[in-house]
Amino acid sequence: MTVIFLTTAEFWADQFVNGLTTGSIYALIALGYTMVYGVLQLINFAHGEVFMIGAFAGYGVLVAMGGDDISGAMIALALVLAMIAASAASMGTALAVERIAYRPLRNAPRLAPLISAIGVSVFLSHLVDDGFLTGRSKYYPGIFPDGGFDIGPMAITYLQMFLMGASLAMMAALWWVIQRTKLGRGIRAVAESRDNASLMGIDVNRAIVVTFALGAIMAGVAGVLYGLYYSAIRGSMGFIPGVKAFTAAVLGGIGSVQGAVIGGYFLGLTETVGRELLNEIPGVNLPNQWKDVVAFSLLVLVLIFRPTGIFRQKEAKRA
Amino acid sequence: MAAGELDVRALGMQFEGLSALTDVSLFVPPGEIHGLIGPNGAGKTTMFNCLTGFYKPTSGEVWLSGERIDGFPPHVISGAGISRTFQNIRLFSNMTAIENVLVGSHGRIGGQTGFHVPKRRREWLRIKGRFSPRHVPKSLAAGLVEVAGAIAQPPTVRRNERDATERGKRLLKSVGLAGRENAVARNLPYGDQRRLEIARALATGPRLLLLDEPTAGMNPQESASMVALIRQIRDEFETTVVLIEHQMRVVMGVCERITVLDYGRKISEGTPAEVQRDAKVIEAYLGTRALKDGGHATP
Repeated sequence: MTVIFLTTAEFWADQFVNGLTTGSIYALIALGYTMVYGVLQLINFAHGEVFMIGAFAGYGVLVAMGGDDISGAMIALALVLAMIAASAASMGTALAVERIAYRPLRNAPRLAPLISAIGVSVFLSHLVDDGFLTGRSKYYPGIFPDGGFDIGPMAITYLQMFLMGASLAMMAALWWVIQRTKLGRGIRAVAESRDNASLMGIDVNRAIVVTFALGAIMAGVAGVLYGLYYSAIRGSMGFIPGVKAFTAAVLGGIGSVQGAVIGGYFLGLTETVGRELLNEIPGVNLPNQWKDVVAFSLLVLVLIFRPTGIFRQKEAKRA
Repeated sequence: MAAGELDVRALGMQFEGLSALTDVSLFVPPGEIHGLIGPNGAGKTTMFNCLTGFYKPTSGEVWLSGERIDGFPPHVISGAGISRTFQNIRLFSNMTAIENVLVGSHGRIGGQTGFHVPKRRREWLRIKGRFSPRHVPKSLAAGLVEVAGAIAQPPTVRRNERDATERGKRLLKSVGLAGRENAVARNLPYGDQRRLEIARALATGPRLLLLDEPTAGMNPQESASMVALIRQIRDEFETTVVLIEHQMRVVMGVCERITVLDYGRKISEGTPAEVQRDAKVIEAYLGTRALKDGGHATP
């Protein structure tokens, strides 16, 4: 029996591009999970909210600069400023959370900081939703020029291009900082052995703070990209992307920086293309939400069969 | 006070009622190679852990080069000039040789992209103190400058990094690892890993180097070359050396003076010849033959 695809090559090419786009957002967020896990063996469940705060800070800048009326060269400036503000706000949030909710529990049983993390996560999302927005969403101004171009069967919008380009640039910068600078060397040393790093003259607390900061910068930029792409933002928006990014980090092997990036793209593609593949089965017509089912099924399967990640190396290379 | 002078005064370390060290005093003049020996469980490694700040001694004082250093966290003591190696090698095994050495020189690389490490205890005292909101903007600003510096890489940062790498290469050459800069640590042969660990310790710029069984697991030839290396290091880097060792041939060959611990107390001190004749030492080791034959002294 031959499988008959009811859809065209263009359709699959579109799905591929969509998958890469969401995947790059997952990858950016996943980096924060994996790096913090690398140095602290802590799942920072408030990271989704760090991402959310970034989205709001970016929104604030765009609105302050004129919202829908921003045009021309001002668009580039507005985007840069929005990302800087988002990174700063996310960083401030992450550092405050680290100081208030995690550091006092550094030597407590491992469950304690985890519960603390979940608490912070719920607190932040409700603070924004119920404290400031009273249940309404905000909408990113649609400043990005419409249109795009084709590469073979793939139609890529300018916005998608920008998303992928910006996230790749951020990830390249992060990789460079981790691999090639003193700052990154300190983080890697702490990830391999906190005690040993400390004996080498590294201030471990400082290294941990910097790790949170770098992860938050990535999340802040991801927040702006998310807002530009999906438009609606709200206090609870961090939850699903947060858990997805966590899934991506686990897929790639938590603690591994390369793994988080690969896992992010892999998850983005799988959930987008995966749902459509299921839809190819005659009689099946799954709505969009099923991509979450695909993603989390993947998480469960990986946790059962490959808990160290599907791209398991002999020894996961830490942050 | 000369640099590198170690003065341990009545050091005590208790773990929930168990005395690991009791009233141990130790004076090591600058540039001496000093041996720390004793049966298993005598407190030698505990002593190292107290000196490096990994443990906080429960009583007594530690002075280095005329500065009191006990009670400070390891990274501050490292900045004050104490560095160590481990009995079971503890390299950053996923990093290359040169990266390991560069981690060692962390506190000495200037420029803006470093985690700030106080060079001296005084400085630590100045910046120490409980968390207060007043410090938040300042430390936040410092952190931002750090991250920004790491990303922007102004010329000074790049120059500092280049200098540190050059220094690191020279260090690797000094311990006999020239040309292995980019080898990943865990892939190096055992003897080379020991040498790399010493190079990394030297990279912190120590005035006192603590070596925990530097010849453990080595054959006689390897031990002999390690002994030569220890002497060479002392002369080249002008450090004081305190070493824990079980191989009596090594201890007697390289140490100028020896301190013997037993059950956490100092039972003897002196030149190798004096210690070897000390009845208390012979008694502690039970197997008196071991000392005389220059064999392995662990009972």
